[in-house]
Amino acid sequence: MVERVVSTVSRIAAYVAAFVMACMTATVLLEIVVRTFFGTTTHAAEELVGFGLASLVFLALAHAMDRGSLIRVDLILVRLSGRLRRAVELVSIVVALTVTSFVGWYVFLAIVRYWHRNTVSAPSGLVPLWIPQGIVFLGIVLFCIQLIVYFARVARGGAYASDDDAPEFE
Amino acid sequence: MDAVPAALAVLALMFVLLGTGLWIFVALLLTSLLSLLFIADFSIGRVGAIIQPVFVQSVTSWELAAIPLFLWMGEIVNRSDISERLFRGLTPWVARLPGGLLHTNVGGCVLFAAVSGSSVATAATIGKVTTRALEQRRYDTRLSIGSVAAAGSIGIMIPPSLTMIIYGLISEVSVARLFAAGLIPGLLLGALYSGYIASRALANPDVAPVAERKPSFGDLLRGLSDMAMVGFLIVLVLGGIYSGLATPSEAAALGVAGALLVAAFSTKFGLSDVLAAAMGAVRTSAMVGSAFAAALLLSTTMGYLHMPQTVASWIAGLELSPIELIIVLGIFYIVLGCVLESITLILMTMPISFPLIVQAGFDPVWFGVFLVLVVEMGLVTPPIGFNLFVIRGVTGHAIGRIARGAFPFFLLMLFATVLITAFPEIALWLPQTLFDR
Repeated sequence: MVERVVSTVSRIAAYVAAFVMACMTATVLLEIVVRTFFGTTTHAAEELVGFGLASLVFLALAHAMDRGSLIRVDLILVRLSGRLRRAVELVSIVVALTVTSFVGWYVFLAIVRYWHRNTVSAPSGLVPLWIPQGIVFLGIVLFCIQLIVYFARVARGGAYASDDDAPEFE
Repeated sequence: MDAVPAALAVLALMFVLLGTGLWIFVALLLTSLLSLLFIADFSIGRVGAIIQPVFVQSVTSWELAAIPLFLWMGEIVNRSDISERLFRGLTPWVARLPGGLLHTNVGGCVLFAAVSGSSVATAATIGKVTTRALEQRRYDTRLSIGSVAAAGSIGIMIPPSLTMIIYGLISEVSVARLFAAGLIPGLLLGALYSGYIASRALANPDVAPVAERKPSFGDLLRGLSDMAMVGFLIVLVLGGIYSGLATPSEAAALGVAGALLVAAFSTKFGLSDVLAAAMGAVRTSAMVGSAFAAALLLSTTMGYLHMPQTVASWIAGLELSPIELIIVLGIFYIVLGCVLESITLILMTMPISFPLIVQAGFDPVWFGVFLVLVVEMGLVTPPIGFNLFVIRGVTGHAIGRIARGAFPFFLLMLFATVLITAFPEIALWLPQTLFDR
């Protein structure tokens, strides 16, 4: 039940990431049109697309983990016998959780700092920096929750995260 | 700790952590964390203050945004009827060549490579149509599955190329120049593969048993019209970059728009496909982006530990000539390429090997092409050559059989590597002609 809720929330976050990607595409196209036909620039395209990418990557992270799209060197892992593999997987999850929470904590500190100082993005000054940093933080938190749920599943003897698609990045 | 043992400790740590099967970005992140804490002896607060900005800013990037957009474009094109069209379109053009329709594998992959940044996608898209059609016509199976597994790897040589974007951004080399440098080597690979197929067919007619009917002028024209959509996308994406009118990110956005337009004319494409394509693209982007962020952090960490200088001076002590250095690096990458996938391989080795090749006087753009070539070999070698898995998925043949089929093509890649090392102009002529006027 909890597992399904978390999976769904991760998928919704990935839908948002897909929407962000569509907006990035539109922004870039708009920039091309403005430059080609009006000889000027939107001044903000580069900045916005950059923030868009950071948001996209972190918002989709939990869902990518859930679907097994986050690759790993599993050459040794898949050759381990049942109990040992399960143990290694559990340790991996705890390690991942520790490392990402560490990063997440410092991202959180940065949000607090940007908020208090009202730091805005350079050069346009359009975006208060706590917003993109906050989206990144949200993605990290979601990823950690997904890891906890995955831990519980593996500990109870459930299935490993597996990839439904062929990898598309090579 | 002394510089050299420290460098070795970091490398060993990285290999062990990757080997245990940790997610790539977690392994790279943990390597940085532990190195900064215990080798550089930084306080935990300082480590955090180093990590946070590098990690977030590395993916706050206009240039890196080309990756999700090219992925999306590729996923859209994949879901359209483009592979059938390519096969139909190429058929009359190659039917009378020695080796006949086997050349649709090579030609299809070369053309599809120009709209896709991924070798795996290229092999899968072309292979799913050609392997079945070739089997029905009793072409030699081994040559058919081997050639499509190998030709698929051209996907990352001919632009757009995710591998080149990653290499360009992590080592600060112009992606547009890399995209120009990959075109001729990609065509060269295609020519080598087709040449090999033709020579096999001449030596042994059994590999291509069916004498195809002579195509009429109308067949040739219909073929061209079937390939027109791919042609349109190629002109849109590569034309923009090569003319200097569009940056790679802009070309990628144009590519998405163009792909949507092309897909709208496709018989089996609906709105749900656009969404599914987008979801596939964001998942892969999350993987590539997080690994990229962790790798930039690792690069920063190695900087704090003076590792690039340490390794460079150690290598300088060996007094290797540039050519010996490139041979050593080539062997190193081919061996590692057997057990690591390409993005991880490039991300983890660049902080060390890039200063080396610059110091030895190699052109960074040329090295990008060299790197893509050696990485391509890893795609068709067991145990983790992804193209082998893709073709297994498509045809059901065993990995070993596909790998044996691809082996002659592996040797041709090796030969191409020697060629571009002996004649760097093969890679460098086009970027110099386009951008240095």
